Amino acid sequence: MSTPAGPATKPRVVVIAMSYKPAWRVRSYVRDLAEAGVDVDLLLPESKSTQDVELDPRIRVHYVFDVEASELPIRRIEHGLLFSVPAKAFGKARSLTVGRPALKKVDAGLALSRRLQSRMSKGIHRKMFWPVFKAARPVILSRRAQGRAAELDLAGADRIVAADQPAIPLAWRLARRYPGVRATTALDRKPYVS
Amino acid sequence: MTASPRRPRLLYLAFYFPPSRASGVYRARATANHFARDGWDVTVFAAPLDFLYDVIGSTDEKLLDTVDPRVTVIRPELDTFRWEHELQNMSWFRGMMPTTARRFFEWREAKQFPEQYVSWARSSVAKALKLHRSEKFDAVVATGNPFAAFAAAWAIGKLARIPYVIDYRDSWTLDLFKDQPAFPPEHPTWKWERRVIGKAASVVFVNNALRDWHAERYPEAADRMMVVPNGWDPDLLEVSADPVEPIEPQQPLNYSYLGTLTTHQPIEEMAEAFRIAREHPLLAGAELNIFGHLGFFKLSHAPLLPRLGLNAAGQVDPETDAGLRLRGPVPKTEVSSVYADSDVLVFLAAGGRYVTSGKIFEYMASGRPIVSVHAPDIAAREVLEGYPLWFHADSLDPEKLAQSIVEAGEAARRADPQLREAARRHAATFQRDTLLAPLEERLRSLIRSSTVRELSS
Repeated sequence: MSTPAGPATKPRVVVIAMSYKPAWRVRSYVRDLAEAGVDVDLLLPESKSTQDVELDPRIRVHYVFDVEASELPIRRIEHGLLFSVPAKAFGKARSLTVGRPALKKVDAGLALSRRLQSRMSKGIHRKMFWPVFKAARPVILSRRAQGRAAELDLAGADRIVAADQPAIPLAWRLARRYPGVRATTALDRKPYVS
Repeated sequence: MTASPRRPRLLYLAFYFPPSRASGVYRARATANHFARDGWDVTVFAAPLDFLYDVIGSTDEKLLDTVDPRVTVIRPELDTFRWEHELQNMSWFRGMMPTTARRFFEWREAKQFPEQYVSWARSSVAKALKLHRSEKFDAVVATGNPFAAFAAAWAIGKLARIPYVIDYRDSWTLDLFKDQPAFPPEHPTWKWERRVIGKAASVVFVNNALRDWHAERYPEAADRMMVVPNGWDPDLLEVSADPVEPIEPQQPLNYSYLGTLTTHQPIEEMAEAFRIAREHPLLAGAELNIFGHLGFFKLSHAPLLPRLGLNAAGQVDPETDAGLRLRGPVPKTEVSSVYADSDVLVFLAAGGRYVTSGKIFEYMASGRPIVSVHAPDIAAREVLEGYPLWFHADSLDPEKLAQSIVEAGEAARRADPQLREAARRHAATFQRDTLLAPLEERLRSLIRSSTVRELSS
């Protein structure tokens, strides 16, 4: 996780990227800053989906969650209602019917219902839950990540960069809290890279 | 002297106006100055200064001083949503719901006019109507791009019931680099173009090729179409009438390119041709100096440097050196000295049969040999034909280009005074004021004689 920040004389930039995987332009931006000697803190949403992303070792990487899906109640509830609870219910029911010739038709009916339920749950997840969650996620993250962001000594940073669209609400809140720190959506290398 | 109740009042919609250094700004500046000199009360609507300084970042302060003091410049508001990066300046709606805010903004813009400058056009219409209520305008001229200015002129013309003229300083629906329509047939731009051309009192183009292309598409407006070439500005360019001294054989030749380099130009062909030409004894030690910006935006220089055979810092790489040297931008008011120090001018241009390029007029005014590096059927031919020191390969083949570079060098060394004089005479026919006079006459014929009587001196 975090290591102490470098000497105070070095410029320091806090980059926030809240897409599940940081885009190439974000990775290249933080790499260029690190190569130019800038102290870079990169805040990502979760360690699970980003552990295979190659980043310059000089970049200090911080995460809001280990696994977003299990740490956000709304996602836990949705997963439970659509997938876990029905799976358990059908599993229990079928444990009573499997292997009993007298309940063969009931078991076949349960298997068919399970398949239909599974297909329906996936459909609801993809077509209904995900579009709504995707729109609300930046706002949810902006609330959940504030504590993590507070640990980054933002008052001592030169700038806060919202590197992608989902990072804007968190960066916007931080911009309000730290009016003396420049907060921007521009991946501008000019002040640091010659 | 005939009494006149007031001067005719012109509203000129020119988004790019000094201190902008965009390539089209010189035509706008010259048009405003020309009308002011001819007795018009000119009000220019231009881009907001913070947009020019903070977003575009390409300005030339000295150009501001060359605007006639009688010209009133007003800068209607532009919604800078798409260019705003500072989170501190963003509203709650945009800060907390960025995707919804962006979609809403794009939807709102697209339903008004298919261009990102529509908010400026909207505020221009509101401002124009407010000013018109207190003191009437007699005519509107709009120059594009941005073409939202055309839509604004159409709206002002309709609401204020005054004639409007649209000036195609740049091409809108024709892609100049592909010589084909720039939009698919169902694109709303076509509806808008038909609308603004349909009601325009006059439609102005920079060359005959562009006029003909539009006349073919809008035959009902063909008789209202006219050509006003770009020309050159004697007030910005000091032209010496002194004969040029022949260049000593041992003195290396000095080739120059003046202007903004862009990605569409045949840069590699020029660099390769110059490298080949330098092998000729006549060009021993010759350099091709590039004066100007690399691209129009803050970060557009990076992809151009390797194409010029230069490293990322713009320095010469000895292994790939083709004799090209980056000399940086020159304020418009100081280009005369660059022309005076150049032996040969290189006319590097992108595009084909519809492209004239503004800088060719200044090149001719300098009376120097000009070597062409562009597609052979470029529209600039129609102004270069008759210029006695024009050297062209009619091809982009580096070997052939190199040959014309050498021929231009020979002409520079000879410095034939009669040829130079003939070259300057040819250029004199393209002075901006001479070219703008028919447009001014056209506008004067359009305005209502009951409200404005002819000014006489």
